[in-house]
Amino acid sequence: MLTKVHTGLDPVPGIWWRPAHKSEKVWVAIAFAWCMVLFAMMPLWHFRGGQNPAGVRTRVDPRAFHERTMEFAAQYKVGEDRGTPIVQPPPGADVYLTALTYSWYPILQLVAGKEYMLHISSRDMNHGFSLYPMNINFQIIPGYDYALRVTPTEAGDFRIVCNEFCGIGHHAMVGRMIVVDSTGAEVADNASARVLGGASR
Amino acid sequence: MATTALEHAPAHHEEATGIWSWITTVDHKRIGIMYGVTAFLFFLLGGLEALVIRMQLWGPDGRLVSAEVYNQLFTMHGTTMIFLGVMPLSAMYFNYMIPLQLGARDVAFPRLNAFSYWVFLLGGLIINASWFFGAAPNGGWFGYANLTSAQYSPGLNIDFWTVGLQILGVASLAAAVNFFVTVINLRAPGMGMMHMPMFVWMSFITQILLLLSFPIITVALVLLMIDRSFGTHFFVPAGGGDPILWQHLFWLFGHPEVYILILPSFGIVSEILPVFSRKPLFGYAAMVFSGAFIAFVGFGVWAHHMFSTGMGPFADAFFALATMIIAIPTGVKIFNWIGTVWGGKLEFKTPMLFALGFIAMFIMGGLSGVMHASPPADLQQTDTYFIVAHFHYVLFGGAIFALTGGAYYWWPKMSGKMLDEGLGTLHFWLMMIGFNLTFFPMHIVGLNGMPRRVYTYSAESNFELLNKMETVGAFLLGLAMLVFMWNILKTWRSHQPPAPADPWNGATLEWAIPSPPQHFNFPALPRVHGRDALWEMKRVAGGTLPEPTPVAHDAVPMPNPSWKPLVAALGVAITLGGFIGGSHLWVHAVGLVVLFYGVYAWAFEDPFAATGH
Repeated sequence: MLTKVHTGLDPVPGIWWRPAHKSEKVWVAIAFAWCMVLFAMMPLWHFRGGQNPAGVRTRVDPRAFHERTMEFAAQYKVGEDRGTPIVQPPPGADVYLTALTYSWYPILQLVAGKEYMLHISSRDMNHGFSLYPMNINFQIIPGYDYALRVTPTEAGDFRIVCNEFCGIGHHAMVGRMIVVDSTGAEVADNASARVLGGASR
Repeated sequence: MATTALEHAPAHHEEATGIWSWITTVDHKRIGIMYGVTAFLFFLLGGLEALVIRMQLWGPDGRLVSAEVYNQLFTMHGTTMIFLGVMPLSAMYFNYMIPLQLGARDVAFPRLNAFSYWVFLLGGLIINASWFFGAAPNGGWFGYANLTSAQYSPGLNIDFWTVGLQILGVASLAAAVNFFVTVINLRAPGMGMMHMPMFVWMSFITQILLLLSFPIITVALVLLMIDRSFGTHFFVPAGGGDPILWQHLFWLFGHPEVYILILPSFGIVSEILPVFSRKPLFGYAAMVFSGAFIAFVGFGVWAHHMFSTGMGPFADAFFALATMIIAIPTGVKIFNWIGTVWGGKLEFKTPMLFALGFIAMFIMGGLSGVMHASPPADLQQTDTYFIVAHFHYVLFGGAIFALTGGAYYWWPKMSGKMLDEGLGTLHFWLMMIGFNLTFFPMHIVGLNGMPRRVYTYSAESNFELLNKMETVGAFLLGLAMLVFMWNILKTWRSHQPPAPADPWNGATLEWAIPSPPQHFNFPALPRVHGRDALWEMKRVAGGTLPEPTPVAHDAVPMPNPSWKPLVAALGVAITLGGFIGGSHLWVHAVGLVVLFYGVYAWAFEDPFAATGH
């Protein structure tokens, strides 16, 4: 036996190897078919289900973006919450939101069922946009304008949570987004609004 | 035969002992033990950091530590476990086992091996020295720009991190070159590449990953360091730089890094399962190629960590598919392990328990990994505790289970003592229960929206119950570690007979020699004719081999001890250490002088010169 040298590619013979049984082949075929179904779901859901947020990211100067946001806030300001303006832009408008270490500016008030072009960027540091409790996350990077076409579907008072670690005040970096129903009536602070610790700050 | 002539050669003196013999050693086995001891201490430190994190998250609005200390704790927990825990624990097995399994007397470059260890130790000490300055790294283990810039992190914290990781990178690269050459050049006569034990194969692929990926993190860290020290703007948007560049560079290293962490564990499990199933590894060639395929595709998936940066549908689709493709070779491996166990004559010794536990836990971690390979799912899961759950299932349920199994498996070989099976079984079950109690609820709390790296949470969020479960589980894990240490201590002090050379009826060459092996490992180099070399030798010999007897300790000339690698390592650490708190020219100068002296003395030293006693 010492003269026989395994090439390494020959299967080692023994009782632990038998040719594939018919049922095994059937299972392999089913598994392959299922892989194909899952594979097809990816593009299908992108185009039909509208699940992938195909946001467009473009370069922007952080200072210019922040100035544009302040201009936008001054233009459509309808109220104020502890120094931060509440802004209600007309449906279809370009909406601006800036992340500042450690806050969000301004507070957006949108109308359910109407489409907006949401531009998000950061004035200073890399932050994350997460709409609580909707649990959707984007990185907000200084120098990049993350543009998203959004249509709020549910009225409520939502929290914007910073989801990319940004240092000492990360856990307290909570913003606000209000969605009013189509009659324009403001919605009272609901349960979801009080969920996070930073809400009262 | 050479051995018979050597056996009656009188022993002049025993192998050197004492602290100096360890500091100057170039023996791969001693270096392996030093890697293991150091890494285990760092691992315990990382574990203590984790326990403080879990106590801080015990209830809502926790105030056990300050937010600043919390940020330092989770950053150091991640950095420690990856770079000072799992990687050097793997390096312990590379050092100790690769030469033994190859039938070699040492690694290709024994002094370079000592250099790697000392550089690793100094890097680990420097990064942890930050605690004494109250300035431990606090930017998260992947240190996203531009939080790490001089403007937003002005303290020493990030300096310790960049300098420490660069020093550790030098150690990893030197070790990778060493093991790569060892595997290529020092296989026993007759051992082809496709005859190597699977642990050696997976380690070999790991070295290739190290060689290709560590230069990338080094470049990224150098750019960050000169951003911080000299005011350049590679990652600073205000100066036209781009924080996303850091993410690309980091993950181009970072994703191969996760395979660097797990492939050695794949190898360990592939050693344990056949031995305790009494069957050769099922699908050897498929195991080799699937490992190589994982490593290759592992370089094409990095941006799946960055779906949330908005790369656009085309890039998202590419990286999603590349990531999902990796599930195929990984699945091949899992089925081959199951195929190995299938129909075997199973022995549920402690190493086998850990190997089987590894398979189950790693499958769970792998499945959640496939879930966030899909960008829409990832956008909900990224930066939540779901991700934390996922990577602990692959790195703790995967790597740590396998490394612990490896410890029980190879302990007799490395120490000459058998570990206690009862305590081992207790250790396994405590770890299994504690692990799942700690990390399974993180899936749920993550999907419910709990962000990772968050200092505390509010009472209204309903995260409290699950967090309490996790904390209880973490303390069970701590208890499991205590049982392990008690096991080591108890068997170390007991007067049990020394472990036999081959306690498990092993298949590979390390079991052919006494436990622990002599300095030169093999008095005569073994001849190998195929896979599972020792099983083949036993089969030819009619079932068993006689217990090998030690020969004279100086029967084979081995390279002399040397302190030059330590000097060179000090030079590296001082040179780079000068970048802590800006650039200090005189520190660099001193470091370079020490480095050049160390390398010069090392280069002109005759490793086989007569030592004079």
